[in-house]
Amino acid sequence: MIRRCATALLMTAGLLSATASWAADIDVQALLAEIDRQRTFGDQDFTAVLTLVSEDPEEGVERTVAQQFRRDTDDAFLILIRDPAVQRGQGYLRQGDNLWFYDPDSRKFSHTSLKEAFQDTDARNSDFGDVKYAEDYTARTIEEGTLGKYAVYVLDLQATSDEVTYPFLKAWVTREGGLVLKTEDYSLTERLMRTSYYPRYARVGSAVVPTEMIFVDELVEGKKTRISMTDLSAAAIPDSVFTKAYVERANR
Amino acid sequence: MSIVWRIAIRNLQEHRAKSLIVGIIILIGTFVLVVGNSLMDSAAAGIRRSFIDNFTGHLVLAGVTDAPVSLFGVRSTDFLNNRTPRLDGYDRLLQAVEAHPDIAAWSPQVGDAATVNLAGPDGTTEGESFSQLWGIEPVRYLAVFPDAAELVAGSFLEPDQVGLLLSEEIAADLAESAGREVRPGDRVLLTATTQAGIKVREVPVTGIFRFRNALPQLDFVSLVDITTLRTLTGMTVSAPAEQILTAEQVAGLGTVDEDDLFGGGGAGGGAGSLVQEVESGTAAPAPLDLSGREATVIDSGAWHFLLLKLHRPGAAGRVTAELEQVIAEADLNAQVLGWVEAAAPLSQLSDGFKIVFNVVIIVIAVAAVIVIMNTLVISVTERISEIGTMRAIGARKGFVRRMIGAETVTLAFLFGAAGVVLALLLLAILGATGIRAGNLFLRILFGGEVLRPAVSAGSVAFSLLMVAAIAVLSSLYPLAVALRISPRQAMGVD
Repeated sequence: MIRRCATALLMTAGLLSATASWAADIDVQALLAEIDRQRTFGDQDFTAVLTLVSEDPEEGVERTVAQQFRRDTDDAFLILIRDPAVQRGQGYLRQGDNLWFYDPDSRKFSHTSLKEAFQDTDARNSDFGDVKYAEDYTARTIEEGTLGKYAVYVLDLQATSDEVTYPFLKAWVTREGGLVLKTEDYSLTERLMRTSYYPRYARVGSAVVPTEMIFVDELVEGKKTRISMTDLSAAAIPDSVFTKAYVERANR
Repeated sequence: MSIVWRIAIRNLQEHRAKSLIVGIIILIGTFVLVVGNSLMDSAAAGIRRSFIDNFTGHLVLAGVTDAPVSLFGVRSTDFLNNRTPRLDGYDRLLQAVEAHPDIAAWSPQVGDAATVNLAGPDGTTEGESFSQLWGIEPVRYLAVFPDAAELVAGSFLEPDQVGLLLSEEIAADLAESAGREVRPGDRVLLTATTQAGIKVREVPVTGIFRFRNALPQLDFVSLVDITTLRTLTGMTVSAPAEQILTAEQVAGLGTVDEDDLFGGGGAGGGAGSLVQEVESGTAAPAPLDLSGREATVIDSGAWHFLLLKLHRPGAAGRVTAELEQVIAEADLNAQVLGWVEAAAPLSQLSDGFKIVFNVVIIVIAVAAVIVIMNTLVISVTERISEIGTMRAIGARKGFVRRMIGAETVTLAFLFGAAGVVLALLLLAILGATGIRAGNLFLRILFGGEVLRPAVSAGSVAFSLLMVAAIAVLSSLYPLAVALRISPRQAMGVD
């Protein structure tokens, strides 16, 4: 624990004093680890209300509101749909490596995957948990650049396993603070599938999480999903929330 | 026999080696053409029969969308979002179908795909597979496809019965991943993504089946009761929910501009400006209120397709035209598909193979023309003095032309006929034994497990015509060479 804190402190100090010459020798894995550390809640739980606005040239605009509960220490989350009324009660329960979808119509749970699309939007189920860049990816290249008014590192990342949603990522990370502002998400054939933007963050408890996420579908022009997080809280959540029984009970 | 033919036959006998070379080329060419075209025609007929008898019928009424529609869904790069359109004006179309004297039977159908899990005790699941699902009305389905499905275990779906007739291939895949056999009576979870989120339904397996003369793509098709599939496909009667957006959400619609998101004008922004400090509460989250959920009401009249079986396949053109008139008059967003479009893209494979085969044949034909022409030119050159002498004693150009022509026609006829006989022999043997498709590629090409090639008069006639054309074409240049020979030139050679 002491060693982890020391590494984090050193990294933060390093990032704050970042210069071009220092960037040339940057320890990319340490940078990825720092991003992970910032975005992870550790011992704290996390609650938020998600509002998803999806645009589709065929289907038009759809708005979905969901309640999220998250516990990173157990790799657990629960997302329950509140609106629209016809989808109310549908839920995604993650327990470690298992992700279940709950259909309140049939009262059945069905196994699903973190790689799947969330509610037919451009978000993936994996977008709602903690991130593990350091574990899941290695950097192929790192360059300095700018994104808008921010000085960034542009990381070209390759997955270390087939467990991740996107095998290749290009990430724009602020040199100061180590915040991921944008990623380009590529398939195994390195085709650009999606561009993701993270323009707003909030410090909640010990973590810094994106409160606005925009996912642009690169295969269908004009298709995108914008997610805003409100009512953020790092208050403790009862253990019972991350269970199938809770999901069924909430739907009674 | 006229003198021209006598001289032609004598010449062929005297230049036996060269005649044999040209003859063998013609024989092989005819043999390859007859066998190849018969195989292609038999495969095309097999594919047509397999498709029409197994799952398309002769014609299919379908909805219209931007991309081509087939029974396997919409062919589009965005196939996940481009869903099979509903058949517009189903009742009006059904009225026209029932009144049409050329239509023998009809069956409505809905198509989608779903993940299949075995339902275990206490809400657990075992194994996982993925199946194309066709929602049917059992009685109607069997009227159009009485022999398509072969039961391996269990029973066919009964009218109004909720259940799944599981494909043998999917049952085996599911059994392998679950580590236990799948039997009729087992319950499975079907999970599909709709526009209204994911839908999950648990249904019993009524039976396990396979399609007779199955094409590979049918291995992944299971039949399910229509109500279950309508639910999984999201065929509901609910009106789309009104979308109430805040001013900020409205402003966020449209194209993403990176300068708007991150500010333009070069570096200088601190990351701190991106991060908002949030006062983290300590109270446990309030209980969720999920009351007021709208029940899903299934649209019991919704279908994707109406499959038609005709009394006579030859009436397809007329029926299509008449149904298209009904569609136009009622201003329906519907279309009539032939079996090839309804089963696309795999149904178009045989046409593709036939084109490739014909291209290969054309290349071979060009090579054959060159070889035959060379051989004939040599043959003519060797006979310069003979032809010159003929000219000197009064033979006109027309005589020489007829003589060379007679030689070529004799060769083409004799060896072409031999090629046809050999091809017929081989085809008769293959027809009796059948050619078994050893792999997936051949199963697609053959339209089933076994191809029994049959000789088609058309392919024999086409092959003979092509060989005759090659022979005539090959003789043109040698003929020109022969006609240029003058008596003086002929005398000077020796």
